[in-house]
Amino acid sequence: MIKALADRPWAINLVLLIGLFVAGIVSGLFGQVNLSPFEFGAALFGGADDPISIIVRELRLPRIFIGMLAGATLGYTGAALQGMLRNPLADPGVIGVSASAGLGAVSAIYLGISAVSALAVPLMAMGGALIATLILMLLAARDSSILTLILAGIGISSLATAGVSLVMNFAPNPMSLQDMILWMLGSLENRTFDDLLLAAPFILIGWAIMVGVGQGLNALSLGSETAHSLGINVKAVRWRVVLGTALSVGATVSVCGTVGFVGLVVPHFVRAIIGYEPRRLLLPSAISGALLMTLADIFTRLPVGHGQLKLGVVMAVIGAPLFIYIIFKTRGNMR
Amino acid sequence: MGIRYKKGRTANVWPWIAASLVGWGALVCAPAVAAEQSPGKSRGLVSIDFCADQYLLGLANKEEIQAVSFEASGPQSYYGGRAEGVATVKGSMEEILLMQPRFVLRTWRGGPRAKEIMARAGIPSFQAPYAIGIEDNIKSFTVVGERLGKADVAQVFVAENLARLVELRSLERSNLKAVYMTPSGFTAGRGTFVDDIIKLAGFDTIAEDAGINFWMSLPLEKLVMSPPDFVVATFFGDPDVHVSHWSGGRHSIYKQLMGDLPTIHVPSRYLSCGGAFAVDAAEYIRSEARALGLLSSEGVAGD
Repeated sequence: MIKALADRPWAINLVLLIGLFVAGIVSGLFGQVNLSPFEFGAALFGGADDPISIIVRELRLPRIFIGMLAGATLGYTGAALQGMLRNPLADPGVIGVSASAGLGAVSAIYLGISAVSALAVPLMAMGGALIATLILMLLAARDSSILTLILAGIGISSLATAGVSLVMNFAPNPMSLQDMILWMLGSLENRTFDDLLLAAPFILIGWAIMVGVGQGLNALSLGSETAHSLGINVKAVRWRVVLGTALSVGATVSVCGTVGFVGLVVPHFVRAIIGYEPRRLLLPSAISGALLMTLADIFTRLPVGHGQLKLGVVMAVIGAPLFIYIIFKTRGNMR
Repeated sequence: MGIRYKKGRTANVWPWIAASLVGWGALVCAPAVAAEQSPGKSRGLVSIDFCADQYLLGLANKEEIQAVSFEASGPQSYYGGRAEGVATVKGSMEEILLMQPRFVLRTWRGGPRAKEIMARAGIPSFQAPYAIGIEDNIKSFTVVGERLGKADVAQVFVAENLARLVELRSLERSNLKAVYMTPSGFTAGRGTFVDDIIKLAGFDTIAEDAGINFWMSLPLEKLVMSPPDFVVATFFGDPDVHVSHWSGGRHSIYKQLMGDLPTIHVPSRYLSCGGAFAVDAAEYIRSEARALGLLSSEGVAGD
């Protein structure tokens, strides 16, 4: 069945989209208040202003849409970065792009710039992501070995983490500290359509920049010299991935905090079904990222202990073992 | 070629080494300079963290205080007004050893070897006990007062607060339910001193019904289904708290709750240090509730 699907990319995308739709519906049903499908439908399409309708329209829907948009971004950029760097470990979280975006967002909150303009947080998050991606490109573009990438990622992540620690160190009061810690843990709880409207344009611009890079990534998988000889503008492809990743991941982090490993886990599983061609990985990775994020968000609502599970924590629990597994599997190539 | 490369690299390192040495020099000298410039009186009392400040400022005379922590005059400090003009410290042991105070009071800052280090320098110190619950927090002033040589002042403070506590508990209770809200979107549930304070004020909280335990994000879905009767809010007016679109409490439902429901803004200084000033906080909530018509003039539930 999987083999049959692998030959039909549209079929895989269709199956994933159906899965995403079902997951979206399930996500709408469960939470602090559990709803039946009938109640959910009535609240969604009825014009009433009762509590159930407010919960569905103002709490659940923004959460579902933001989760899908963020998951798609992280899945797509993970696949694009892996293609560009020819490395299965490239993920916005692992290589420090998400942490750098988080540093930008946290700095905006700490410095009080977020109170001046609502755009300050996404803009500074995107700035952080852009700087991290550029550094990564400088460090790893010429030498795309796994070891170089991991070391570059560790360096960028450490720098960003150090910056966040510094900001937290000087937090003026417990409230600011709580804001920052929550940001770093990643969450989709209590998000609004305003958040979606602020982040979505940047995410969509990021996606638009990366549309059509698949052919270039395919050529790059043969090496940059071969890609050149095939008439691919390697520089342009790299810049488009860098800019697109910075914009979309930065905006994603600004709206749902630092959620790692989606871009690592998703292309890894998609690759197992449809093979190693970078271009074919992009769209299914985006849909799978949205699906994974939605499922993980449902998981955060399960009653576990006395507290609340955060999305970033759930994804780390899923992604970190896989990260170690991939390192284990590819350790022979680490040079 | 290789040797020349190495030589070049070594030469380039010197500016970095020089800059590092200057930086380290500045860091090493900073505490000493700070201590020399400090206008503190010699051999006085010193507190090195926020909660120790409250004990010291509450019990000692200003003339006896050599220094308090840098947090003592902040908006969240109950005795912030008394800290004005008093020298401040960051709480490092180097700073304290240079100051040679008569006595050092601390709760959490200083590190595990603080007592030993200060004892070796002949500086007596005391770490105030960690108290849980309103009564224990009030009574902790007795222990600290004895160590500061202020047992009589502490006794008056504790007796007065315990009497007011008993009086608060004897007042008739309302069956109105409150929710606690902060700018970061966090609330206090069962097992927190804020929940205890609201109950001490004579009200119930939504913590039980909404399953809120300890400190957690406000469960907005549950609030929509069973709205509380009023809001108790803190930190919103503090000058160092930035409330923006990206604050935890940015959701429209959150804002709507605060807009539609009667809201009591409790000054954050009443909630400093785990409930030491719980009686003041509860009395404040009660008096504001009366002003908002949530309590009748006799103090009975107004619903």
